[in-house]
Amino acid sequence: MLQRAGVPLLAGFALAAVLMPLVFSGSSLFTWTTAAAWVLFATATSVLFGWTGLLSFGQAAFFGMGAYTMALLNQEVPDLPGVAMLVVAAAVAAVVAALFATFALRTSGAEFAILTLVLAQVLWLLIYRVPWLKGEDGFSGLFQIKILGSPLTSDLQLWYYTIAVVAVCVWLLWLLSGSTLGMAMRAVRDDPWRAAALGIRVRGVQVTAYAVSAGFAAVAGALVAQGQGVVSPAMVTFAISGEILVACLIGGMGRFVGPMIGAVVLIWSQTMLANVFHDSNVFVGLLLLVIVIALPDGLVSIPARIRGRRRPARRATVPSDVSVEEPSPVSEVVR
Amino acid sequence: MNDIISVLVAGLAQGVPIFIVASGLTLIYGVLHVLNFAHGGFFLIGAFLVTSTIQGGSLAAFLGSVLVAGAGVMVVGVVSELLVFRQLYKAGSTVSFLGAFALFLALVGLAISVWGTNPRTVDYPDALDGSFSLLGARIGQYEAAMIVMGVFIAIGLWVLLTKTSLGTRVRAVSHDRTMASALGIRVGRVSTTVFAIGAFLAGVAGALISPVSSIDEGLALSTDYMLPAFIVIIVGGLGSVPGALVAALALGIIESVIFKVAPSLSGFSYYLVVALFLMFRPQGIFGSASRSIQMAR
Amino acid sequence: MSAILQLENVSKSYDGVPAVRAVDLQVADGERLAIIGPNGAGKSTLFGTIAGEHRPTTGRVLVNGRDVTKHRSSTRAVAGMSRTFQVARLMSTMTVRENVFLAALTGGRRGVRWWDTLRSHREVWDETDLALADAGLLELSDTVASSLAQGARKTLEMAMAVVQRPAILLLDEPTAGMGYEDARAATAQLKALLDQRRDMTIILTAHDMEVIHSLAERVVLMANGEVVLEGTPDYVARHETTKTLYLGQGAS
Repeated sequence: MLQRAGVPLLAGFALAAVLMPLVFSGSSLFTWTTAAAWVLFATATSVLFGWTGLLSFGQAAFFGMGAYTMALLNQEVPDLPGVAMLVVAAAVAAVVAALFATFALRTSGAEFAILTLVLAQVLWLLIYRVPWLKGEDGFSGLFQIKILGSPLTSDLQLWYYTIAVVAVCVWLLWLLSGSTLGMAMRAVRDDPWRAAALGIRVRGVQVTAYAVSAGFAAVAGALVAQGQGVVSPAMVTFAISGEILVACLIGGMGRFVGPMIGAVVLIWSQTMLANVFHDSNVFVGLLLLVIVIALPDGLVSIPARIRGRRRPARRATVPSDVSVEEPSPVSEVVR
Repeated sequence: MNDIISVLVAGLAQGVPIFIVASGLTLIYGVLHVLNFAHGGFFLIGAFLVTSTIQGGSLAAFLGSVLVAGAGVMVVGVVSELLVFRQLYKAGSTVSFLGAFALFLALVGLAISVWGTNPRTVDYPDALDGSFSLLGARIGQYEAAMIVMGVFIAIGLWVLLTKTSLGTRVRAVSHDRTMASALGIRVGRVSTTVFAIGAFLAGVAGALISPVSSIDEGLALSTDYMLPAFIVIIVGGLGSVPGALVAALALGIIESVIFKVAPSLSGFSYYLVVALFLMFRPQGIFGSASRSIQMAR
Repeated sequence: MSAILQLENVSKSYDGVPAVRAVDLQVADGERLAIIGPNGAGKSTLFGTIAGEHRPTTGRVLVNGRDVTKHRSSTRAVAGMSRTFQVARLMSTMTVRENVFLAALTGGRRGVRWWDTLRSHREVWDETDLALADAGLLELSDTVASSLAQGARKTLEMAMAVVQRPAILLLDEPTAGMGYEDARAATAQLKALLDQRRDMTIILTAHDMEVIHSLAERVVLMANGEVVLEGTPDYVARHETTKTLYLGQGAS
């Protein structure tokens, strides 16, 4: 019963919240704050990719949308409580995602993957074109995060704030994973034809998954923005979209905690290897290649591998095929 | 009238490199069923290779550089196919997509570590650095040359795919891989060849745009070339080369018209067009309705 | 008896090639109808049209007199239509029990919601376990569907369709891919299962005369997308047209 209510999960977060500041301080604690936001980002992405089987190469769009919404709110209504800003950011991203998905899901497979990428690049282009989004310069200067009327003032307070928000959001997603809606998402991933024949509105579930994923990704983006005090087009690049897929895959999406572990591993390895790789694209790209080829089920599958016994039926963590149909035979190479 | 001609020419010149990139993408999709995101990396490396290899401003030097870029990228493409896509073919399309995306990120990162992040430029070849007048409209010589180049490549592809035995094999594999293999076609070799051709085209396209664009890592997924190319293969119908040609040129012209009429909207026409297609004809110009569209309605 | 399902002038073509031509069909409430015909006769297409997986090019589909032509398959499923597929479709990463649970849940017209925990649906789990017992799948309850043998996959899919308590049950080739022995055993099991639910209307496609004789009351023979003959199983089985179609196809 406790297990089902996610009590161990919340306890884990509470423990982390208390322990981290005892062990880490200064920039290390700040890295943990960033990692916490990425934990949420990864879990949100896994809702779409792992549970529902929709591959998005444009998650940066929603991460960035959250950050930019935060920056604009901070500029226009600085007195709004920090948490309220997060809620607005989530709502904006969820609505945009739902609209986008309603149209984009008229295609599937390769076309859908392209469209997700296109969405992120359109947003990126908008940032340069729309004057009040401030182009290359972006927004900077510390953002005020007001809790009960008084602003946060230290890295430590920022850590408590971030981890608390992340804990609540991840807990909501945990509830989703154990709900009938979560089960419907997995059904749609496994076999959309069967799901539809059972009476599940496949498109509706997919759009919902997309909106939920986008909403929580936006919260993560807004948290990073609040933490770093800088919002720039770099948050909307394809590198970010790639990194979050890497985080999900490193951890492995067979378990709820997989993407969370992946996010922590990714952020810390990037921080520690910052001197080795000048450009994180190489690192992220190579890492993704290695995982895809050598460890498709991620780190969470390692214990089972070490024990040398594969689970009787390997649960697919990467959906074997994102497209609903067989890749349609393409006869019209030349007409 | 003058305006119409110059807008048309500019649109076609804009559409040609997009077509060259898209034709490779769509061929690779047709044969391997892989959406090759790494194409952006190929395109970028093609452009960078010109900046490193070009010697002087003669037309011959430029064309030589373009060929070197194409060949260099072809090597990169073949290596990628053998090292990455061969390994992933059996794992299903999601994994192949991820592999392609990973390769894309790695290639862009590699290009940055070789050539840096400072934008580079290439001069127009001396012989093409002017303009001439056509029915009263000023036409850039390089734009005209680009269109000529596009005609050559389109004809070349058409001959290759319809008149050669390689073309027959490519069409057979893209139509039905298993059957082609049963008929004794060496599917693996055909796939590698198609990948090589696609990569070569991407390299050439990257090289051809080097005088008209500043060259930095942003090109890999640029809103001027790569994204339109992705959109073009959707609008043209995945796997269809003629579809890519029609869509690329049409979108180039639309974009050029919008640039003339409403400059603030330029850059967005591709997205508007793709949105319209999604609403009314999700299978593209030359695509056929797939079952998924039926089911998901 | 009133017609629970009516097809009016239903045609379906793919890229201009007709697969079903102007079919009119009435199925009475509680009736058991088999649609037979040689390969390519249009059975599967017609089936897909009834289930709502594709929209007919022309014509209407009515359930209880209500036009459902434009309803998609999930809407029809919620309205009381369940189906099996020629090659069983299952949620491959879920266990047998979870598969049946989801079918029972959606069959009970319960929506799927964020706040509904799986645990909270006690009565659905009870229903699931009863259905598993009925289908003889109890020992396999916790097996993941992807590791089931072919026969068990079909049995599971059938259990999922039946647990939904549909008004109309669509069975697409219930014994496809089975050997002779297995097919006979499966047919007997199926008959026993269906006879407990006399209220369901059943429409099935089949090749196997054994299946048709034991499950169907009326048979519709299709050829080239058209209905060419209908009547009792005996009548259709002995009719010249049937022999010509099947033997003719075999001889060519």
